[in-house]
Amino acid sequence: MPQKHPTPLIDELEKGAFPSFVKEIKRAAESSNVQDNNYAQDLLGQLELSYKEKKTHWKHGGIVGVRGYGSGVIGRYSDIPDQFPGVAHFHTIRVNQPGGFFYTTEALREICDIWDKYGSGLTNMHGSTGDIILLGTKTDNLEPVFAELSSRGWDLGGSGSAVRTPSCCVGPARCEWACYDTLELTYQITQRFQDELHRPMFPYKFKFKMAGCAVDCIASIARADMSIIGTWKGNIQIDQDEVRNYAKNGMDIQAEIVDMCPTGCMSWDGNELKINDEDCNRCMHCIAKMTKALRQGEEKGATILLGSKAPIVTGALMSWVIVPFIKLEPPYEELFDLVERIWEFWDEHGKNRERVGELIERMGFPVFLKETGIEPHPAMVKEPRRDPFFFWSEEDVEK
Amino acid sequence: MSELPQRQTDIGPPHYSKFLPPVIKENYGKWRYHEILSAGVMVHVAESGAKVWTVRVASPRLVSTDFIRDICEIADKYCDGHLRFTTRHNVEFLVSDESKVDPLVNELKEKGYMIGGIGDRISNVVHTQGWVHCHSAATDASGLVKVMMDELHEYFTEKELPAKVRLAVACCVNMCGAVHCSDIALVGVHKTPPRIEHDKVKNLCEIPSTVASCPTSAISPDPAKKSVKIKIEKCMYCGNCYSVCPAMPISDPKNDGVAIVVGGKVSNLRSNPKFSKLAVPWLPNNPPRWPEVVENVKKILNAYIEGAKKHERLGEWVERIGWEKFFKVTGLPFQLQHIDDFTFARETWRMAATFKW
Amino acid sequence: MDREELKKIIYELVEKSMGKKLYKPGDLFKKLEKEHGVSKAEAKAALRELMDAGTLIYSYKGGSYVEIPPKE
Ligand code: HEM
Ligand code: HEM
Ligand code: HEM
Ligand code: HEM
Ligand code: HEM
Ligand code: SF4
Ligand code: SF4
Ligand code: SF4
Ligand code: SF4
Repeated sequence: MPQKHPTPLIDELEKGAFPSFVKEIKRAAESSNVQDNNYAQDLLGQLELSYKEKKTHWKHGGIVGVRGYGSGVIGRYSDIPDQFPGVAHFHTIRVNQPGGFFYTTEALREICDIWDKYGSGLTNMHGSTGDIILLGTKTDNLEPVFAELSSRGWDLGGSGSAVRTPSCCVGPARCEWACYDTLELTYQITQRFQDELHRPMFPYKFKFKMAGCAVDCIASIARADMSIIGTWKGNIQIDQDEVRNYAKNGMDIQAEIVDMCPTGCMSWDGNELKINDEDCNRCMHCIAKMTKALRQGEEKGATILLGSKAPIVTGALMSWVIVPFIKLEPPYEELFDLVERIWEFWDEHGKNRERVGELIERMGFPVFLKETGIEPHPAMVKEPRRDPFFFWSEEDVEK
Repeated sequence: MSELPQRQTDIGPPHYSKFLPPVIKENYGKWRYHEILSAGVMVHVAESGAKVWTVRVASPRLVSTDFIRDICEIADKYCDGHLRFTTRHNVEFLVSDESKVDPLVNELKEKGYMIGGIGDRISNVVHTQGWVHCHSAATDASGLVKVMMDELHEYFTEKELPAKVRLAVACCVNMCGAVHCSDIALVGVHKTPPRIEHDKVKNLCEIPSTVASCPTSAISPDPAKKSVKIKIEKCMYCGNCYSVCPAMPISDPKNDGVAIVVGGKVSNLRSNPKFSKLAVPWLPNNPPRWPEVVENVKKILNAYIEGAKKHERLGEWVERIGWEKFFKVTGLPFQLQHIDDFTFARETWRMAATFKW
Repeated sequence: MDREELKKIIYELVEKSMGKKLYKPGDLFKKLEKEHGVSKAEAKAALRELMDAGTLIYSYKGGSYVEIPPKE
C-alpha cells in the first residue's frame, strides 16, 4: 500500500548511518505480510504531526485487557482519531520474553505471523523492562491475540501495580562470570509469582532483575525493586602464567589493574600478582580486565539489594544491601520466603503508588528489618549514623 | 471468522532451554574466558575447549516483523536457526563453527547491518517510547537516538574509547529508560507548570489522589470550583499530577526541551554505581535532527576522550578532576539549575574549602 | 464464608463506591478482613472468580483498581 500521508520531517530520520526506526514503520506500512497496513500508515502521519507541533498525540482512556488479567496490555488511543483512524486504538501487548533473550527462528516467526494477522506489524525487541512489545492493535483483537499466543506457550508480561516481567543477564548461558544461574532463577520466580504478575494487587509495581555478577549487565541496581547480584566468598584464583602473558602482550598491570583496584589490595612485582583477598570488595575490575588469568572465588552466591526506583516521586534510589550473601540453588525457598515477607510489609504499610524503597525510607530501614525479621549487618550501610537520635524498644530498657 | 485456539492462563514464558543453541546448552555454566576479536565479534571459550563466536549488530529497537524475518533468515543460514537479543537492543548471531564467522560478517555487511558495540565503545542506546507511543512524552526518544548515533556511529563500529560509554534517552522525567545511571543521557523536560482544565477535573480525576501525587505539595483542593489549584512557585514541572489527572496537561511545545545528564554507571567495577548528574539543564526541542543536543553530546564526549585514563568511565573521570573542572574543560555554562534543591540536596553542596580554579 | 456470598459482598462494595472511591485489590482485602473476618486467600480467590467471569475488571489509573465493566 503506497504511503497515505506525506512525511517530510521524519523522512529526515531515514538518512544517516544508524538503523532507522522510520524505515521500519514504513516497512510495516507497506508490507504485504501485514494484514492491516493502516496502523503503521496512520502512525507515520501522526508522528509527522508530533514532529511538526513538538507534542505527543497519545492519550489515556478506556479500559483494556484480556479477561481475568489486570496486566500485560497497555491501552493507547490517538487524541485525533478522525485524522488518523488507523491508530484510534493502538494498544501495546507485553509478551513475557524467554530468559536471556534467546530464540529459535521458528518461535520468532510464529510471533510475527500472529502479530501480522492481528496487529500493526511493529514491535520493540525488547521493551526496557524486558518484554517482547507488540506495538499497536485494537481492543477487539486482544482476546484473539491472547488465544493465539497462549495456545502456543506464550504468556503476557506484567504492567500496572503488579510484579513486572522479571528479566536477567545472559548469565551462565554465555558468560564465565555468572555466580548463579540467572536464567533458571528468573524462570522460577516468574512461574512462582504468576498470580502476582497477572493480577495487580500491590500498592505499585514490583520489579525483579537478576545479574550474575557485579558488572550488572541488566542494570538491576538502578531499575529493580529487588536486585539480585551474583558474588562469591573465598580467594580470587590466579593463573600467574596467564598474568605474565597479559603483561607480555602489552598490558600495564601496575597502572591498569593494581592502581585501579578500589581497595588497594593488589600488588605486582613484574612477575607475580598478589591479592590480599580479605580486603577485596569483589568489584570485578581485575577479573573483567584479565579474564584468562583471574577467576572468582569458589563459594558462589548472590547479594540481594532492595529498593531502586526512578526519580518520581521523591528522588531516585538505587537498591541497597539487605542480604549480604545467599546461596541460590533450586528450589530457592529461602528467597521466596524473603520476598513474601517483604510484600507483607509493603501491603501492610504502603500507600497507593508508593514503591517499596520509598516506603522503607518513610518508615525507616530499622523498622523494615525488624518487621521482616532480617538481622542487621555492617554490609547494609556505608557508615553508621551521624546523629544521636536513635530509638529503643520496650525490651531494650530496664523497668 | 476462523475458530480461535483454546486460551490458557498463568503458563508463564517458555523455558529458555527450548531456545538455546546446542553449543550453549552443552557448555552452560562452564565458560572459561572470552576474547574480543573486533568491534562486533567476540569468542567465548569453554572449559571443554568448545568455542562460540558472537557477531553483534545494532537494531533501532522499534522494528517491523519483516526485520525480524530478515534476521531469522540469516540465523537459519549460519546459526542453525538460533539468535538472541541483548539488554541494549542489539541482535546477536551465535556460531560454533569458526569457518562460518567471516561469511556471516560479510553477508551482514553486504545487507547493510551495523556491526559493533562490543568492548570499550558505545553500544546501542537504551530509550523510551516518546511520540511513537506515549502520552507524557516531552520529546521523541527514537528520533534523538537516531540523530545522536548517526553522529557517533564510528564509536559503535570501530573507534575505541577509554572505557564503555553508555547512552540513554528518556522522553520525560518518568525516565522509563535507564537514564539516571548512564554515562551520557538525554531527558525530555518541561519548563512550565501544568494547566488546569477545571471543567474536566470533576469527571476525570480523583481530587485526593491528585493532591497526593505532587512531590512538592504544590497542589491543593479548590472546593469552590470542585477542582484543584497549584501554588506555582512550588511546582517543579515533573508532570506527576498529569499522570494521575489527565485534566492537567503539562506539554508546552514552546518551552519543552531536552536536558543532558552525565557520569552515571550501574556496574560495580572499581567505583560504586553512580547516578547521572545534570550537565545541561535545557536545550531546545528541535526535531527532526536536534542539532543543539547532538553538538553538546559531542562536546562532552570529546572532553572525556581527551581527559580520561584508560578504563576510566565518564563519571570516574569527572570525579577525579572535579565537577568544577568538568564545566571548565567542556565549556558548558554553570547555572542556578545545576545546584540541587531536591531530596538529596545537602549531600551535594561543597562542605569544604578545597576546590580547583 | 460461602464463596458466592463473598463474591456478592465484593461486587456490592465496588458498585456502591462507583464515582466516589476507587478500590485497589489490597484495599478490598483489608476491608473484608476487618469487617467480615475473611482471610486474604479467600478474598483473592473470590476476586479472581469475579475477574475470570468478567463480572469485575481491572483498570489502570496510575495504579491498578477494581471496577465494574463499562456498559456498552
Ligand atoms: C508517573 C509516572 C509514569 C507514567 C505516567 C508512566 C507511563 C508509562 C507509559 C504510558 C508507558 C507505556 C509506554 C508505551 O509503551 O506506550 C510506560 C512504560 C514504561 N515505564 Fe513508565 N511511567 C511512569 C513512571 C515510570 C517510572 C518511574 C519508571 C521507572 C523508572 C517507569 C518505567 C517504565 C518502563 C520500563 C516502561 C516500559 C518502557 C518500554 O517498554 O520501553 N515508568 N510508562
Ligand atoms: C541534650 C542534649 C544537648 C545539650 C544539653 C547540649 C548542650 C550544649 C551546650 C550547653 C552547648 C554550648 C553552648 C555554648 O558554648 O554557648 C552546646 C553546643 C553545641 N552543641 Fe549541643 N547539646 C546537646 C546535644 C547536642 C547534639 C546532639 C549535638 C549534635 C549532634 C550538639 C551539637 C552542638 C554543637 C555543634 C555545639 C557547638 C555550637 C557552637 O559552638 O557553634 N549538641 N550544646
Ligand atoms: C551523642 C551525641 C553528641 C553529643 C551529646 C554532643 C554534644 C556536644 C556538646 C555538648 C558540644 C559542645 C562542647 C562545648 O562547646 O564545650 C559539642 C560540640 C561539637 N560537636 Fe558534638 N555532640 C554529639 C554528636 C556530635 C556529632 C555526631 C557531631 C558531628 C558529626 C558533633 C560535632 C560537634 C562539633 C563540630 C562541635 C563543636 C566543637 C567545637 O566548637 O570545638 N557532635 N557536641
Ligand atoms: C537523563 C536522565 C535519566 C535517564 C535517561 C534515565 C533513564 C532511566 C532508565 C532507562 C531507566 C530504566 C527503567 C527500567 O528499564 O526499568 C531508569 C530507571 C530509573 N531511573 Fe532514571 N534516568 C535518568 C535520570 C534519573 C535521575 C536523575 C534519577 C534520580 C535521581 C533517576 C532514577 C531512576 C530510577 C530510580 C530508576 C529505577 C526504575 C524503576 O523504578 O524501575 N533517573 N532511568
Ligand atoms: C484517569 C486516568 C489515568 C491516569 C491518571 C493515569 C495515569 C497513569 C500513570 C501515572 C501511569 C504510570 C505508569 C506507572 O506508574 O507504571 C500510567 C501508565 C499507564 N496508563 Fe494511565 N492513567 C489513567 C488512565 C488510563 C487508562 C484509562 C488507561 C487505559 C486504558 C491507561 C493506560 C495506561 C497504561 C497502559 C500505562 C502503562 C502501564 C504500565 O506499564 O504500568 N491509563 N497512567
Ligand atoms: S552481569 Fe556478570 S554474569 Fe551477567 S552477563 Fe554481565 S558480566 Fe556476565
Ligand atoms: S575484584 Fe576489585 S577489589 Fe577485588 S582485587 Fe579485583 S580490583 Fe581489587
Ligand atoms: S519516559 Fe515518559 S514519555 Fe517516555 S515512554 Fe516513559 S513515561 Fe512515556
Ligand atoms: S507538575 Fe509536578 S510539581 Fe508541578 S504541580 Fe504537578 S505534580 Fe506538582
